[in-house]
Amino acid sequence: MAVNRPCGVFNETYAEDMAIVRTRFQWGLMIVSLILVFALPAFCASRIMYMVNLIAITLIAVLGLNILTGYTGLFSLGQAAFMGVGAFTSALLTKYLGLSFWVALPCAGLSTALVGVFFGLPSLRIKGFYLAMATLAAQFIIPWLFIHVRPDLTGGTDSLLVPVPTLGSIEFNSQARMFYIIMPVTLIMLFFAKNIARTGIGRAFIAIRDNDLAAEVMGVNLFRYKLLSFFICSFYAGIAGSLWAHWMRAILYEHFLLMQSIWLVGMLIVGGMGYTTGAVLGTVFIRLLDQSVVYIAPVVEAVFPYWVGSAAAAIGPFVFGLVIIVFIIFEPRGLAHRWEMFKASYRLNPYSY
Amino acid sequence: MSKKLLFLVTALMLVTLVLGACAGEKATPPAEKPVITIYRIIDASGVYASINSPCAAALPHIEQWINDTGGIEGYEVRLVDRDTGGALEKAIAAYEEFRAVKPKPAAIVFWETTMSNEALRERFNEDKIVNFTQSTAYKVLWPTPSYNFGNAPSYVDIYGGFIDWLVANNPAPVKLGILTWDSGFGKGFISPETTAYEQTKGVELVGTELFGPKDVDVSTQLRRLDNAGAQFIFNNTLGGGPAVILQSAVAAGLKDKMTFVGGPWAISADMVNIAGAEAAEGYMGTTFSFAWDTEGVEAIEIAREYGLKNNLQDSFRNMSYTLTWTEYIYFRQLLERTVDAVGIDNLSGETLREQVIKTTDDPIDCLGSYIYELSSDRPAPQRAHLLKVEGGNIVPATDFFSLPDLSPSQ
Repeated sequence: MAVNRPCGVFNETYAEDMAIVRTRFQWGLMIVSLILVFALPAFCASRIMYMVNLIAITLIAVLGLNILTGYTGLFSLGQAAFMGVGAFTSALLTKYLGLSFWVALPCAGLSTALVGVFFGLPSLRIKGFYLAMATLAAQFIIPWLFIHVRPDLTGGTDSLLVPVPTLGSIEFNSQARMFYIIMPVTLIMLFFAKNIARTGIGRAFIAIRDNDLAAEVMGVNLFRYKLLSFFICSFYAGIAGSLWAHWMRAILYEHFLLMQSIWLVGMLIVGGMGYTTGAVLGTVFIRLLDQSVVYIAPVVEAVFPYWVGSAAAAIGPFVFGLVIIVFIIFEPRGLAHRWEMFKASYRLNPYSY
Repeated sequence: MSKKLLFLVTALMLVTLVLGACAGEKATPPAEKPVITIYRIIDASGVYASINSPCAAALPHIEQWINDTGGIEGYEVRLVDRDTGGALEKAIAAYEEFRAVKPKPAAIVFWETTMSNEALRERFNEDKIVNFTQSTAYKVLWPTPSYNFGNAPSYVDIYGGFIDWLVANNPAPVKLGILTWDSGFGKGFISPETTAYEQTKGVELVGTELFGPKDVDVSTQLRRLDNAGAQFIFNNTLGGGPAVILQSAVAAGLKDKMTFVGGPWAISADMVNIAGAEAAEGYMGTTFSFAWDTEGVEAIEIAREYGLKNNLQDSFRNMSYTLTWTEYIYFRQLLERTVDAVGIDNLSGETLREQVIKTTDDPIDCLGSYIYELSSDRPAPQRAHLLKVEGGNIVPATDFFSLPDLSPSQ
């Protein structure tokens, strides 16, 4: 972090050394940014607000995945299914038990975290490709449960309608209103995700990622920390799922299939594993790319009518795959690394070093 | 590549992405004479591509025809399409885009998956925008009153019509098996009312078997239904769905032992191509459209004329294309009635909806290709006929008949 400090700024206390926001300029920038972000609904169309909400919810899930995969080095292909657990928990609690959304939200996070821990148990014995396969099981088992266990409650293969969140007499029934739930939650989750890497827990995660045997020799309890990593990752997924359910207002198992998990992993790869900034950049980049396809496709179709025909709109997955390959080959550390390089280059300009 | 160039390329790419993702349908610019825009959100390249691609191709041709023939009450018409590839996120994004257009659209033609329709059903009601949908599962159309209306007969009514035909044309006892997709769409016709209707009519349902849209063999399910004595197999699938059933039936040696019938989207030229003419021979579909080469139906002849004039590709010369024409002829007449009744300035979801439910007393004839008569309580048209595959072609097996009212109790 020291390298990011402006010239002449020194730390005089431990608090200053630990601070994320260090200078008055940074504080000012942050406050102005927050004001601008929360003023977005005043000057943005509902379609833009929809995109912002979609990105924010996705970001929470990717942040969780970043803690598991980026920090702890444990691979998961079940993040979308975990989101589903959160979504259905929240929906069932609010719809059938009449609980408030504000109660259901943390319950969704906690229940998903427990489910995540269960599916994380194999991580104590296996890792890498084999762990990915084990978490893949979650991606098959959980949607199956949504369909077949009490379909009268979950909707089975039909959508389950989810109540709109309320606060007093305010109904959060539009993109702009939901934004005021989704964005604060996202910022809180982002804050914790950023900080977790700077705590003892985060350092234990990183030690496990870098060399689990060495970490154990150093006194890191692998059993505890691996499961804790799954717990936190799934908690994030559960929160994202709960927000998804109340934002979408109708959920179905098809929202939480393997392809969605792959997209989440892809966002992390493109953004850069192990960086909170990476999760943000990757999520924004891939979501914008995916939405852009809707508008770019007709142009592609018009230019190459005989090459792509009417399938142009389906080039989304093609572009997604291509982007991942390009990043793995040319920038395996993701957009976050590129961003760090850009900042360093900007700071040192015109000198090379 | 120099650093500056790399930075420039990256910056350009990001700007393109942001602008692309934030791009939207602009409000119709003020003009001396307003333009009527009909927005459509369609899965033309996703799971429903096999039936919806020709629907997408039809749009510019229909726009040309409407404007060639005087527009809507003299107003120019613009037909706007947004292909979502069947992705829920994109369907909702497109909906948010269109609903924000000024003036607010009176209707959105929403030819998306049942899942997307279920997710957006309440938003259409809240925004008072008429949803013209092809996904007519009862959970999309009911409870009523709502702003969600079917362009096609509801799956429950279609199934009831099939039961009527079954009973009228076959000696009792009729033993029926259901083999359909395990999805909201696939099971969209199974309701307490349809089950009761089978029993009332004396049809014995010997079993219900399910399969996934990506399954490639259903011979096990077919054998179970065969063991239970099924003579007829009904499915509510599309594209590869009926093809898998038919090919599995051939492979299991059951093709000649049973009669296979599908719902409104389960019979198409595309399906015949996938299954192969031999396997598809004799297959029937309870639907409401006409084949491309049907003679003597004005709407189909106009569709054919414009298709040929615009060099429509061969694979799109099918029922999906002609069906799109039928439905837009209906929209056109509906908008003409609304503009006629309240004027262009008062064209809104509410005024359009009033005209939709007035078709109960004053049905809309789509130039001979179909008749629309909807009501507030029965929000989908009520006629269908059976088509049959003969010699690789799709031909009418019956005349149009009225469908029983199997609306769910509310």
